[in-house]
Amino acid sequence: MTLLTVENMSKNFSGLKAVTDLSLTVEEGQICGLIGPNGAGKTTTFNLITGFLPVSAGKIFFDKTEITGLESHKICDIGLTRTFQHAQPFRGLSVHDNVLTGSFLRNKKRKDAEKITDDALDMVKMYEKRNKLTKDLTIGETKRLEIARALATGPKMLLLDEVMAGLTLVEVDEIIQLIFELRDSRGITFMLIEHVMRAVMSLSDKVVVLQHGVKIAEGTPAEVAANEKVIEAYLGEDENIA
Amino acid sequence: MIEQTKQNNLIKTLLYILTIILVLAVLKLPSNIVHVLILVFFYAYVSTAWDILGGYAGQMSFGHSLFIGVGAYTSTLLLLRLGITPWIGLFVSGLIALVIGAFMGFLCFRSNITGFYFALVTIVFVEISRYLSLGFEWTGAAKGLYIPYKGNNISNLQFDSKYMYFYVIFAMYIGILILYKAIMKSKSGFYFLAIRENEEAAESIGINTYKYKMLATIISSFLVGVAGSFWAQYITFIDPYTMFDFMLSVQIIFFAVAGGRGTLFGPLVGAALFVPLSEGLRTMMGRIAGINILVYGIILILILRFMPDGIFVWVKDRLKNLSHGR
Repeated sequence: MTLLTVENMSKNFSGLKAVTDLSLTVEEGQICGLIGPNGAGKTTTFNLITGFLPVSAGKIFFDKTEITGLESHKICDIGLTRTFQHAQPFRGLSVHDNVLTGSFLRNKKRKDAEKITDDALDMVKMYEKRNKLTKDLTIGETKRLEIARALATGPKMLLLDEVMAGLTLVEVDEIIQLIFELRDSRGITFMLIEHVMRAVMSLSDKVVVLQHGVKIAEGTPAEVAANEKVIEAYLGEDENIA
Repeated sequence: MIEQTKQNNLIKTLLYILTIILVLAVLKLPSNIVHVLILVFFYAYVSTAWDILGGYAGQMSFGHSLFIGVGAYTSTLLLLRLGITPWIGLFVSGLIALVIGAFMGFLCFRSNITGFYFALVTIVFVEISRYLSLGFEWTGAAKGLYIPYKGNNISNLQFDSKYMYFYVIFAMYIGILILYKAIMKSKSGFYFLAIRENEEAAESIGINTYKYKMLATIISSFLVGVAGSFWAQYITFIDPYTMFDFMLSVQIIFFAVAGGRGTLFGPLVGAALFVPLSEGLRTMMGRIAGINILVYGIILILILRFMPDGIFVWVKDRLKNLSHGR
């Protein structure tokens, strides 16, 4: 079943075309990578899908419902949650309280919300650090906290914006494992913006490549890696990524 | 962990004992002291109500005297023009303040006016209200309204001795503490905090930021409206300049910020320290106009420099360090 459908979506910032006529679909249970050089419009695409920016044209469907123009919190309520490129934890709150805030979306009672919170913290291996303040966390921990908070909202699909940027190799491997685990045990569908090629290639069932706001290629990691347009535009003319 | 629970229990017991002593002592205290205590708890109550919106949900209202004024005028007009008892007046005052708060919130939050701009709008509302209440003979215009004394009668909310007023405002303060604590523990409380810390992130995890900012506004304005009508009953005279007063709004914020924004007892700590100080300064140095404002200013600067989270938080942190043997 197709979970997310983007139809001919465009975004202009007073003349500047950030995204042009973008169409894509993500199937349930899929992990879809969204790649492209800096300024290709990847984060804008996320902002458009999750309602943080209004689209200039086009339609977006999620789980058989049109979500174009819906407010972000409603989109999250339907089951589509995102994380941010620059992690945005609630600074004054502890790790536990950050995640608890997410848990309240589907649990009115504190007791139920606490259970979801512990579970989400456990999932990202942050349970031991639950009483820490967010300012005392490393980049890697902050990113995991963001995933836990998003996870606590009980999403059908997660949009992760550069969740591996700035992490060590070991941490990258942990996040890759985590994404596989979440997909397999919870059936969560993923779309990820990522610059860490190793992660994109090993995780993605499908990769969409953007350049200057236009989709230039789509396919399995192997197909995309072999695509001449992609190699030229994104990976550099003479480089061999395989 | 166990140490901390022990310490908390000790503090709790101390608080209960203090409360009982206070409630009993009021009967024997001279009336000028009781007056200061009434002021302390009135400001503690109003600052706590402000804190739900300003400290917890992070929407800085600089116009909370608006709701005091609205509350005071509503119950007084109901009493004088229609003969309705202030007990009903209290409640109606809260409701009218709530409606005005909701209108203000709707104007601001629907069009994403927050931060400084929200603060400005709240100031404008106070100014408008003052001119409106000045403009009509029906509201007493510049002469104000006077509540005649009709004898010691609980149904009029009028008493011949100060301590009864103290019990009323003290009970109101206990009530707001219980409410504040319930909010802190609830879903709404966490949503308020999330909005204060990061609205974008709050939206991303499904929080309807508009709805919860409105909720904080109406809770806060209702509670302050009720306090306004109590205030009118106590001082028995209201006019546009003392009710819709910008300095009054600033004081409300001052107590909460100095004591500890977003904390349960912060507003009380602020009010308990600075109301007596201000009253003392006024009686001792009354000839120098505005001396209390000057002193306030200096203290506020010092507090923000050395205890940015407020006195309550500062003391709590010191205690915590002590108990850890540092």
